[in-house]
Amino acid sequence: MEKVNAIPSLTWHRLRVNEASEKGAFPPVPRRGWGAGDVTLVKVPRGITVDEDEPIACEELESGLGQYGDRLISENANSRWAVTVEKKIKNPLIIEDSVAAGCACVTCGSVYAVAGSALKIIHIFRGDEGVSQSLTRIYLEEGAQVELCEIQLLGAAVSRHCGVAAFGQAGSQFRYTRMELGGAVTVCGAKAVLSARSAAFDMACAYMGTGDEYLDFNDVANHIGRETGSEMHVFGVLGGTADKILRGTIDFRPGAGRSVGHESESVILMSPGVRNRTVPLILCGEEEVEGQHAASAGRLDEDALYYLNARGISPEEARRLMIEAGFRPVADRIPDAKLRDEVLEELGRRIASL
Amino acid sequence: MAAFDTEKTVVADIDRTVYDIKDKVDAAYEVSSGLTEEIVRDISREKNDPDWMRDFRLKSLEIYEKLPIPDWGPSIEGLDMKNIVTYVRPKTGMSATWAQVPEDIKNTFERLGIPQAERSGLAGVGAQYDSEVVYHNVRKEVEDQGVVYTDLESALKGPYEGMIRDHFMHLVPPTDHKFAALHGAVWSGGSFVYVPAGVSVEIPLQSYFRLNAPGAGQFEHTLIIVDKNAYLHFIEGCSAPKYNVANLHAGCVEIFVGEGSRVRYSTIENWSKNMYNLNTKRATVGKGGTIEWVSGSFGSHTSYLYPMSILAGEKSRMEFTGITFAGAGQELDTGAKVLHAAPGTSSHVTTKSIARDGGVSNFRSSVVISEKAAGSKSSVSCESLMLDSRSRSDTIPAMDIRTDKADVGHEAKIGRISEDAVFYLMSRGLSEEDAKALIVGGFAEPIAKELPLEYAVEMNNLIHLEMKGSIG
Amino acid sequence: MSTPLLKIEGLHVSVDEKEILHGVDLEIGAGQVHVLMGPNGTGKSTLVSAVMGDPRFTVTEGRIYFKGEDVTEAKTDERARMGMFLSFQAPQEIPGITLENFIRTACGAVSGKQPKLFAFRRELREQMARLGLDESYAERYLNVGFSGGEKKKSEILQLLMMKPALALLDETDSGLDVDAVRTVTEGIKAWHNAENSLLIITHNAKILEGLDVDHVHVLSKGLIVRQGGAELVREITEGGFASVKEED
Repeated sequence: MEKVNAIPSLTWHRLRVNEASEKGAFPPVPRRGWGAGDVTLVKVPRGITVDEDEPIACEELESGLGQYGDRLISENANSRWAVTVEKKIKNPLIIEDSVAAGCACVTCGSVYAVAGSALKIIHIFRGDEGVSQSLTRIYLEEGAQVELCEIQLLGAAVSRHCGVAAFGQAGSQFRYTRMELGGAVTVCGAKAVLSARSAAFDMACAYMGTGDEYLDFNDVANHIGRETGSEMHVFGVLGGTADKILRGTIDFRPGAGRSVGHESESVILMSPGVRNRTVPLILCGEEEVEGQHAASAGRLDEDALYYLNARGISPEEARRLMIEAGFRPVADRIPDAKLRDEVLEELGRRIASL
Repeated sequence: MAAFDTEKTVVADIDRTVYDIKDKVDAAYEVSSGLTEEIVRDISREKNDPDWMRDFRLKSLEIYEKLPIPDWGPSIEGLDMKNIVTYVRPKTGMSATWAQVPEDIKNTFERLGIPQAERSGLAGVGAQYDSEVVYHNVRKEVEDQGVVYTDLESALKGPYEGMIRDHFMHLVPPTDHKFAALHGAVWSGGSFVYVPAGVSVEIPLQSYFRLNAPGAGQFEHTLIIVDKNAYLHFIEGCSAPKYNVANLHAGCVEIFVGEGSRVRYSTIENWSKNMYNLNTKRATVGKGGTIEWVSGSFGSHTSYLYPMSILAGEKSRMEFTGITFAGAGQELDTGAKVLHAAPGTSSHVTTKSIARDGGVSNFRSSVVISEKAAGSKSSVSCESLMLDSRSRSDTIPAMDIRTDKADVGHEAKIGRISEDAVFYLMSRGLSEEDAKALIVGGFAEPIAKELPLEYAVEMNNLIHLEMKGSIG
Repeated sequence: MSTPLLKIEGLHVSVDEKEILHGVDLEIGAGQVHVLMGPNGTGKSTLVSAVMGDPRFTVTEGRIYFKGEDVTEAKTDERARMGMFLSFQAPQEIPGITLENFIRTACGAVSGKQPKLFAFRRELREQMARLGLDESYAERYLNVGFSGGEKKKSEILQLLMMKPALALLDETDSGLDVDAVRTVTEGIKAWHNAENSLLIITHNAKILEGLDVDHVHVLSKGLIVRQGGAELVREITEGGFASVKEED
């Protein structure tokens, strides 16, 4: 059995965190294949063209899912999109994957951003049933800026696998936002290789797990160049008997002097049946770095709750507010006001049903 | 240097006398290399084990053969498993004399500035003798309180056989991992401690490594049973670097902390740098009880060391304070494990690790809060200091939380010595070396103050020593 | 006389099993301004925290009545909904909730109905202008990145918007410059009327300028050691606490 979301440095097998569990396995492709889901280019900003020819530089990149997962998605892809960005594009490219019962969106996307160019991409995932898989590979030349915002609004019966791979040259910036609000199985892995001086990776992720959902994350920042920076911050809420594993790795390679990496996770646990596993790694082979990790899990901050209570807000309402507050900074990164409002509204609905 | 030469003669004399006696015993047990049932039976026969213990050893051997070598930690490829039995056998230890002590360790003692008398003690069997004296002095008072403190092998033949049988490797079963199984098959030497209910042992018990017992040292077993509402501080005296050529240590420590009791277990390990230290330590804590681990790892070639606490009783607590310092050629993978298995339990882990001169110092931990542990709290904080870019320091913590009624926090930091701080100290007249040593000492200070005084002093000396020649 | 707005009877309060207040009595009538003074560490904050129902403080003896009702056991949010307001010494920073959203939620919780968006917004802007808080702060996360003075103004803004019957101001003036203290006092005056009441903890007469102080209480070592009128404020700010304690 091939491994998915494998951790860059193994630990005790007994903990069952070294890779995604069987629950996170790729669903077998039916003999006659899946029906194709809808993939829509909702908005294509002026200045770019979207085609299907993946640049070779992108093909070689590996996502946090690992080679096996990347290969599966790439081989089974029923839709492909590729963009070469040559200048700074202001408006976002918006892509929407929509699945339904018996259907799958297996979407393989790539972005090649030439030196000094900039692009924002919003990728939305919708549908109540079916299979949603995506692999997005991004190559950033010097000083390029790419922002990828993945918004997952799937229903509770969808199986979801999502790989993101980025390779940044000197001075490039990759900003990644991930909101995972549904899905029976959610397996996501993002890996950013900061190959040269001052390349930066900035990730914000928020997730919600309810019912008996399984969530599995494997995010990696590889610091290779000097003065590279990574920020990986995650907020989550788990209810029901949701089962989650989050692996976050900051990997300082020798030579990555003066690099800085911070990662954090804060999880609110809403019911006694949840299972919350967190494995935050800092791998360090370079002296001159600053690496930091913080994780907290459990109940809401009591001081903040008291403050809200002192303003007349009931404990239940305060809890709802605090959860919303956790999602808000992540939602605020969505570079489209209409979509952001829609997400906040949907979020409100899903929090209310927690 | 003259003083040292004189001292050396004395030490060498003691060494030879003791080891000469041992040589005869050993000669009778020449066996071929490779770990076989035959050899395990030999050991058992030599030790005059009760039948159940012999069977236990054989069963452990079976398990050992089935279990894989871990694939997740530092490499242990340099450890030739076929030679293990040689290390079980006392032969290597016995031929050791002061003359065979590697030069760098002798120099270490010189530079450590350990007092003359103490030096002769630490240098070898004399240490054993010296600590026996200390221990004897203690034992009289302690015995009056009903405390049992003896070596495990003789305890096995006395009135405590039943108690030992009920506890021995119940916490760390041979199935736990390959080296626990190995330990179960060939264990030899170690201590047995029993503290009756309500007894507070005011003076710490110290157990030094016993080189003089056949087969002891590499696979010693420490079994500590503390009844209700009692207190014990146990110090594992591994501070003397080992100079024998043995290169595997797979000891085992099991601690049973009774209801309302508190046990503190302090260790400083400073093995010689050819040692594979695959040690297993575990405690189970009853209702309202506390286990406190204080652990310093400086020596050995490769270490796997993660004392585990099972918080089995309501409101039981664990505290772990540890420091690891890895230099050239060392890969020290250390940390802690805790299982919260009852309501209202708490754990608190604070560690510091330092890597220099190509050394690897990793922190690894596991915090599990089970479904039964509502209202539990855990905090883990680890800080790493990298002194150069040839070294490595990985932080690999894991948390598994299975109840919503828990508060779990984790913090990790990695960094280097602040240039500003070095500059500041140098502007006040300190050399760069002293400035750095001072800063590293300050980094280690919160851990050092948890150690027994003489160990804290030694640790500080070690840091200064390790830092010497680290500049330029 | 009508029932006092707040009545504290023989209040004993402990934190972590340690008793801080050893039997405090206090009455505040409608429309009155009371000042609570005393050396640091004597239990002033403990008193207002206990009145607000901070779960970290345990009332071991005595009762607290608010609007004639025994609220000793009431939850903090119930007390707030009844019209009690505490201005915190160290207000919480909560990322993710905007100041506007927070105040609107709080006003809705206290009044029982969500305020109309436009009217609310207009009033909020007015009050912010009164306090010299830039409009942009409405969209910022609650107290996150606010300076010490801005946090205190944010508290007074909440007071102005929520219109409680009783305000407990816990050293709202500490750490503020002269101008900021004046602004805070202006805010308090704008809210204060013949119906609502104030209990101000302060070391400084400045915040009281322009307020008609009815009663001054001096707390020392967990007990009220002296009570009097406005003149006590001057006595203390000039002569220190030593002068008043002697008379006890």
